[in-house]
Amino acid sequence: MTPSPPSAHPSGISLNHVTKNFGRKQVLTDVTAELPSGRIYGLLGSNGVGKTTLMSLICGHQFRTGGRILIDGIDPVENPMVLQRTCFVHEDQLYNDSFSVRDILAVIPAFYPTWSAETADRLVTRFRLPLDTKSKKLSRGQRSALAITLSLASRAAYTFLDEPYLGLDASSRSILYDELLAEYAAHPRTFIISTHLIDEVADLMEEVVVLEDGVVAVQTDVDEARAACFIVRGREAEVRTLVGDREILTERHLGTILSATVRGAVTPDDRTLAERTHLTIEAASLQEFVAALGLHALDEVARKTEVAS
Amino acid sequence: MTPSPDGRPIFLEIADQIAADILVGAYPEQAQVPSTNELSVHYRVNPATAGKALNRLVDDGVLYKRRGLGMFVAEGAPEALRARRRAAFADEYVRPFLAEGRRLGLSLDEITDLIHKEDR
Amino acid sequence: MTHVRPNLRLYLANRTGVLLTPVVILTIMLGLSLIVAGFIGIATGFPLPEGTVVRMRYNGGALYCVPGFLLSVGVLAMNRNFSMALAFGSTRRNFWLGTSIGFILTSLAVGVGTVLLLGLEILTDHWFINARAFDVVALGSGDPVQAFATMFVLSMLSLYTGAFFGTIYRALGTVWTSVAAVGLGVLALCAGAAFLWKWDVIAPQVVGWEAWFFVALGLVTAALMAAASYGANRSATV
Repeated sequence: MTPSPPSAHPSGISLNHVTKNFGRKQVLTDVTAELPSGRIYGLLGSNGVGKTTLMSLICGHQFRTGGRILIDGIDPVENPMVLQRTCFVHEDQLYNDSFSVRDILAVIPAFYPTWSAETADRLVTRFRLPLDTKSKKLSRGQRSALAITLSLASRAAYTFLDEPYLGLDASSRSILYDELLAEYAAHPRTFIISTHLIDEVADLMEEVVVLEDGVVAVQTDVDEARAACFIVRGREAEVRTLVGDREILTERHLGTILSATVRGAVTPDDRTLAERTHLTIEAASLQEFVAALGLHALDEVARKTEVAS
Repeated sequence: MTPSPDGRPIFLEIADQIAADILVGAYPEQAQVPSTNELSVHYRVNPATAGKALNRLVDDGVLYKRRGLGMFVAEGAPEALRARRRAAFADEYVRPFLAEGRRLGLSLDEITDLIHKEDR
Repeated sequence: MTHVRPNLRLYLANRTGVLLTPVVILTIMLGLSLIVAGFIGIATGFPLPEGTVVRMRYNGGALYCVPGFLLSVGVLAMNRNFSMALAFGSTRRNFWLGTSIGFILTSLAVGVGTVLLLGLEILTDHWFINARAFDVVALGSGDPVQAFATMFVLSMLSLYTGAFFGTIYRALGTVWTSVAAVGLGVLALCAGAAFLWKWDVIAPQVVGWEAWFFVALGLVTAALMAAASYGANRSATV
């Protein structure tokens, strides 16, 4: 319990073959990733794929079944020096019912040497948080606003945001994005944002980590993720010719028309062929890409069960 | 910043936007352009993306770096930008315009007539 | 201590609830006792008849009134405060330590409150009508040290029992919380039965301890609950 200064060179989060079972159910089967510090990460994937579980494991809120997790080279579980540099307000965070917003804002700064009262005050004002309301009486949007306020004001080196915009109206979401970027610019740190409202927050991220089927399906730069798949639409035979042996993540049919989400980048040849055979090629948004990966994973599972039975 | 429909990376869109601002004289030669962080907050994008946009313009010779001070508009950059845009005009506008005309069965004369009519 | 203090502050965030309310509950119990004594007095005339005074010496109100509330304080601390502490980067161990210091403060408040009310009771010659709420057999018949010790231990026992259940709930879920409740009940009954069965063996050992016997018993049980809550806390999750 002797206080020592946090390591001056945060190196990031390292996940090595991390697994997590709940009873017999395997949620994370083999998660391996390196997340260097000082970036904004988007943690994406279908509902129930284990995004919140993974963040809980990193922060030691839950215990991993296997594998290794390091924050700045140290196992975070029950390590006060490392955990003090994390902040993870859960989407369904429990507060003591008898606490008002004011009580919470009075107590939490004690947990962080890095706490910024100025940021807290500014966000309370901008979100119009009702200070005298008890935590259990807050609306969904106010709960989100409180979580954002605490998370940003903590200035924790590793800040986890779990679906931070739930219940926020459009203008409050604007405040969230502006404040997040301003805080990040002024005091660079690592943010990990789990979200399924992907396109709205995609631009804030530097890197995306897509979880699917218990593993990291994709980890890449946002620009690369955007270029990682495209949608081609037209008469089925011509679409199939253009796709060739590339992987089709999802397909949708309308009569003789096929709309296929294809993994890979569009080549100049594709464009020429598309122009000649009247196909349209569109960039898939990040949202479409992640959704396609999710559907693809479901199809795979269905196929495996079919084979097994 | 909304992603463009043809899937161009956001940083290119922002670079184009800054170039367009230079063309209309928002930043004259030798003037300082906004910092990575300012661009990040303004366009609501990750600072890394904003940084890529600035670096792209540095690579293109539109901006230059002054150590510790920031990014500045290069001498002759507006003129160079205009020249480059003229060069790209045929590719980006004329060719697709002609292709669509042909698809609709318009002859070159008919298309030229349309241009003259529009320009009146 | 650096990492324990925030957890103590978390426990004390609602000072009224964890320091004042238990004392208020004791005061309300006193009020009710006085009202009852008053009604009896109106029926029989003052001073209260000898039989009533004897019965009031066995008034156990002080023992019954606080545990329920403190149990809930213990449960909420380990359930709600625990979730907050972890969210804001505390370890389980430091959370448990900080909360334990808080438990001691609450129990001190209960003990000191009891002694103050006992002092008033004796100073006012038992509230002028020979009514008793604190100068009772269960609290050492007017001995302030024993009154303090009894209430302090009772409070610690209640808080840690609540903490134990709150933690079991966090660590193992609803089913195991019920199992633990039933198990603990059965254990308590068995212990009680064993005491009665072996009373002729135990009694000579504890003769002269009088109410201190129960203080000692409570202290041992509180220590066991504290250890159990610590153990369960190590595997509690959010």
